Amino acid sequence: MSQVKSKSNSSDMLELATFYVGDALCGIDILNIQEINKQTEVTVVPQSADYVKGVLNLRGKIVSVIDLGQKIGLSPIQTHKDNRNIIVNSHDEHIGLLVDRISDVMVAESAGIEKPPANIGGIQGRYFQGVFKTERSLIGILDIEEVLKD
Amino acid sequence: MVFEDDETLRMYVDESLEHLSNIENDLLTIEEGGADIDEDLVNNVFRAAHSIKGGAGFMGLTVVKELAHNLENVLGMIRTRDMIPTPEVISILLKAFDKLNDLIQNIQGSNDADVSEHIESLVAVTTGSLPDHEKEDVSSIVEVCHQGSGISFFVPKFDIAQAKKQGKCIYIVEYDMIRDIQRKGKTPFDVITSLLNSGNIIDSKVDIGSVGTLSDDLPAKIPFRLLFASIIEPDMASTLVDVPKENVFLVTDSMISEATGVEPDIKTVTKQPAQAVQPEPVQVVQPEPVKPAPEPVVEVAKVVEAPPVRRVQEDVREAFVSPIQAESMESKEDMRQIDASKSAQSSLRVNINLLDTLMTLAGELVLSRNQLMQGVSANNARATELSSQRIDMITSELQEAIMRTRMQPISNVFNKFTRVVRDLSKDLGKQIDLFIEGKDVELDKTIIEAINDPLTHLVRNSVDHGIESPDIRLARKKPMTGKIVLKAFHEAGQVNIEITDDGNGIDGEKISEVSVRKGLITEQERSMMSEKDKINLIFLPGFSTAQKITDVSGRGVGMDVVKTNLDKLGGIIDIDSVVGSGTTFRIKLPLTLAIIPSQIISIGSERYAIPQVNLDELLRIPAAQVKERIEKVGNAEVVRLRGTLLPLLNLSQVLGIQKSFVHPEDGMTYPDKRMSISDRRSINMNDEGFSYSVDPEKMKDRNGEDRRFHSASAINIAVVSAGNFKYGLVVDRLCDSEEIVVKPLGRHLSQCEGYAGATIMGDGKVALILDVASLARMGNLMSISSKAMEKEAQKAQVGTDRTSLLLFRNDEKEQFAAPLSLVERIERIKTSDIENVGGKRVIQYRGGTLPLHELSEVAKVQPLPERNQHEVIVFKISGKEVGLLVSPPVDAVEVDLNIDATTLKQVGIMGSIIVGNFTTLMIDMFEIVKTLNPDWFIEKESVTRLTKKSPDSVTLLFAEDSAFFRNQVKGFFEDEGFKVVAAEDGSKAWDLLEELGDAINGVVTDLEMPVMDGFELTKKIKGSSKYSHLPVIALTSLASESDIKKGKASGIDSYEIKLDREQLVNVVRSYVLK
Repeated sequence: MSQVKSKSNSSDMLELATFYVGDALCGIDILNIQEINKQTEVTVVPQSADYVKGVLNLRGKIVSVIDLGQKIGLSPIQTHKDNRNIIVNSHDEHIGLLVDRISDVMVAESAGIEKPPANIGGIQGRYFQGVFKTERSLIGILDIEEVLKD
Repeated sequence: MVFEDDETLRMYVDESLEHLSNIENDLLTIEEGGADIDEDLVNNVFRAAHSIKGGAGFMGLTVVKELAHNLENVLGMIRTRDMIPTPEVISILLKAFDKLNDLIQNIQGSNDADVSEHIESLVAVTTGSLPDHEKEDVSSIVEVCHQGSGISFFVPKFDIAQAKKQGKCIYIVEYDMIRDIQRKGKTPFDVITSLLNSGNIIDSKVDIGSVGTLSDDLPAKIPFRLLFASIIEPDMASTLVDVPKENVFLVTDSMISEATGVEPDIKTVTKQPAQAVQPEPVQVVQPEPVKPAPEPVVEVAKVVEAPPVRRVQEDVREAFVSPIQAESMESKEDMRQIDASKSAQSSLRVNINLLDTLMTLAGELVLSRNQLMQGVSANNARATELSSQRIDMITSELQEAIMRTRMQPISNVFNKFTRVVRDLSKDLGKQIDLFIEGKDVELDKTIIEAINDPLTHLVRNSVDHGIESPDIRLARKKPMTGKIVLKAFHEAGQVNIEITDDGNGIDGEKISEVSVRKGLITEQERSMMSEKDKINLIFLPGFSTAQKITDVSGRGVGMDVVKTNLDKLGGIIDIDSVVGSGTTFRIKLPLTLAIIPSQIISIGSERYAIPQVNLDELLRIPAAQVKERIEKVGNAEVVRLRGTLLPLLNLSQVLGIQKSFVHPEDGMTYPDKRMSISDRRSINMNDEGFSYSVDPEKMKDRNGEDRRFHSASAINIAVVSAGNFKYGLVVDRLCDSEEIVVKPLGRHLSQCEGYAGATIMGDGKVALILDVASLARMGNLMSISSKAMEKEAQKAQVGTDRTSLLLFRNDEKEQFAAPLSLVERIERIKTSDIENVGGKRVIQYRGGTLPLHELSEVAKVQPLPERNQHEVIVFKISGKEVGLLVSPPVDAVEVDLNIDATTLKQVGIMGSIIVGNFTTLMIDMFEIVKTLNPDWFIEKESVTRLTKKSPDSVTLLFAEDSAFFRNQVKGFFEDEGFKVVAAEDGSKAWDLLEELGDAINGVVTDLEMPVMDGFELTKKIKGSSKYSHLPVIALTSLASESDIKKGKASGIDSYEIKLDREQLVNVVRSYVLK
């Protein structure tokens, strides 16, 4: 246990929360994540951008929920019981990222992270910090700030 | 020797800052007054300086004490009128007070600060206006020494002399901090304050040295010594200061000696500040119980006559005249700037009562919580409900109380601008008057603090760039003195602040040119900009208009910072500027911060909140009236509301949401497909494949049955106002009104207009808060020419007489109406309260007896059904109140008065009218009362006879287009004995007037008539030499403000309401029977 801890604390290890947007497996540094919930019932904000799914009440805070699929140029997230909101913190503001379903938490070594290609599964490369290859899959590590940029 | 007791020090700092906070304005007012001194004001400032000095002595703040002392001297002289507060003197005082403020803000370092420059100028001022023989006293130091106790003070001789001059005795008072202060439950400040009430403290010090070291036993005493001047006589002194007699010593002349040998600490302060904190020589001398030498008062008087004039030691004097520290104006400005931003208050003074209230409320809240918890755990619904009600109440009270602690008047910010403008205009050689309006406007303190910087910047801008220098102003034919107006007011739930100057104005062309040059915008963009857009470019980051960077507003802080700061507060800034004649900056700030009452409405499945401040009223147009009340003017839909047309905005359309309605038959919610509100709702429309233009052919098909009868088809409108612009927001449903907490929306939603934020509803869901001003913009409502609408409204009004009627029933099946203008009140009474006295029914009402009648007593109508409660409409007839028993529903409507005065006419009923598909009988209350109580009118007629003219010698000309009213009103007059000549319109009336000439004694006219209306007729009459003496009384059904104005302009003598018979007759009487 303590070993894992020390591992994750070291600078060359990165813990990734992974999830699916459409068919693409993406990851976010777990330290950026505030929480993951399945509060998918949101209040629609008319006149807002398409990718803004709405707003929800997160313990008294108003959180904008963003359809991650639409935001990064894929088709909108299909409503499903596995849908989750990943609440991230960006510029002192909580923002919910709606994803199709979440997957495992993986530990990636920085050495194993490569520069992103121009395109991963139809998503522009600029949204990624890098890619991490496991035996079975390819995880695109999202650059939250880039994704959330207007 | 700075006093280390944090608590005491902080108290001192807070108190001193408070003293200082108002000084600036006081001084400026004193300056304005010049030689004409307002003593109260000077006393105020004097006291402030004095208290600061008093405290400083106690705290060991030598530099503060020194500065405050010198300030006090100058102020003292102003007070005694030995000096005239010229602008120069005030400037010196202001600067010194600024320094004092700085010292106190930074209290720990105050003893190391250098104040010599200020002291020097203050001393110079003092000596400058002193009689020669006193001049030297100011800087000379004398030692006041009491041999017995070994206490000695070094004080300027001037102070002693001043005190004696005012007939005061000087005492040395020795307090023991433990025995005299702490044990009596006092604080040193209490002592100082109480002493200040009866005299002044010349000097004070704490002898820390006598306390001993830590290793010693607990000190027996901590002496706190004061040199105190008071008019109190010696035998009273010890009682006054509340110290045993043996510790109060009267200072006699013999105790005052020139300060020799001993280095006066004042010198130390100025020369070697670091050493100023050396303790006094340790003199642990137990003061002998010396009798306070009670000297006869006579001797005091003698002392006054002969103030001791002694030689001054040159070196002491030189200590004051130390080399001038050329501290430039700018650096000081900067310092103040920093302080201002730094000193975002960390503490706040709260009224003790308010604090007590808060505490009580908190206590109650705790108790209620306990009850609630208990109720919940015991599953006791009743207890839970009770305590939740209680908590509801307490929460509201708590909220209000807390808000009250936070609200502060905007004068806190505004007041300092007097000084800013004064100083800046002096520096820049400009003449500027500052006018401040709306000082009392209260804002939440966080907003007050946050607007300080932006406002300062804007004011500086106005002074520096706005107002021109006097010669330019003269050349431009403007008054030499520029004018800046600072104004704050509440509007539409926001605080508005305006900064207006009559200076240069902002040249949009120039600004856009610079912006292009700086690459902030492209030439193409520029060409597409309106003048206003161009002016607004100054808010772009990286823009600075100043040709040369001045010290005043060109500090690299641009207008963009102002805008960012205001944005952060949710405020809006706008500029209006005319080149050459001035600029106005308009700032709108939310009052809000947190909790606002609002109306919840819904569209589809979503709820929205409209802040109550924006809400004027809620309107529900019943299905049956939709057709007549909602119409289209041009492209806009409008609703007729009390004679005016109100533009409508369909919220669902603006926001692009599907409107919905609940189907009247199956109770399900369906999307609403109507294109325009006044369209009829039809399910068939789906099949028709809806097109934007409604095919007239198809409309014809639907001319048969009007299906708008169901209550669910009613249209709900929230009438809202954005500034002075009012419109109706059409919504699906009107829900509750609730207090909501405003929460900001995230940055991804910032481009969405129309929302002021979001809130969380009781069920935990989010509702958006609507911003009605932006919605109006989004719906292009502003573009509808209001003139066109006004015209339309007028057109609609001509030819009809719209009157407010009160509808009620007698028997359930008969509907009656009375003019609302005659109704005093409507009450509900219990049948059991009705008394039968003398064959009449009465009820005790407001301390009197109210006669009750019902319609069937007079008219042939169905009797009132038996019920155990009745509605009573109270009318006032002939000065007496009379009640009419009726059945509900009682309702007010506004209708066109198309009265049929023949078919159903009978006693007590003037005729019939159709209201809402019902034949409605108009009652004639006057006739009813006259029939029932004929004796009420006899008295009046006898009074009438006493007047000079009798009614039958009077002929009235009456113009009215409606036959009903013509007959009705004619009847009123003829009943009174007047002769009446009636005409159908203005032009016929004029013809009649020409024909009958002098036979006519007065004119009564309706206002709205075909051919020639009442206004025109009046103008014609008043304009002719022959008839201008005739009184013209206008009859109207609905008098609007603008009508009355118009009427007054055309010469109408009086306005009367058509069916208010009594009032009308009385007014006519008063005009024609004089």
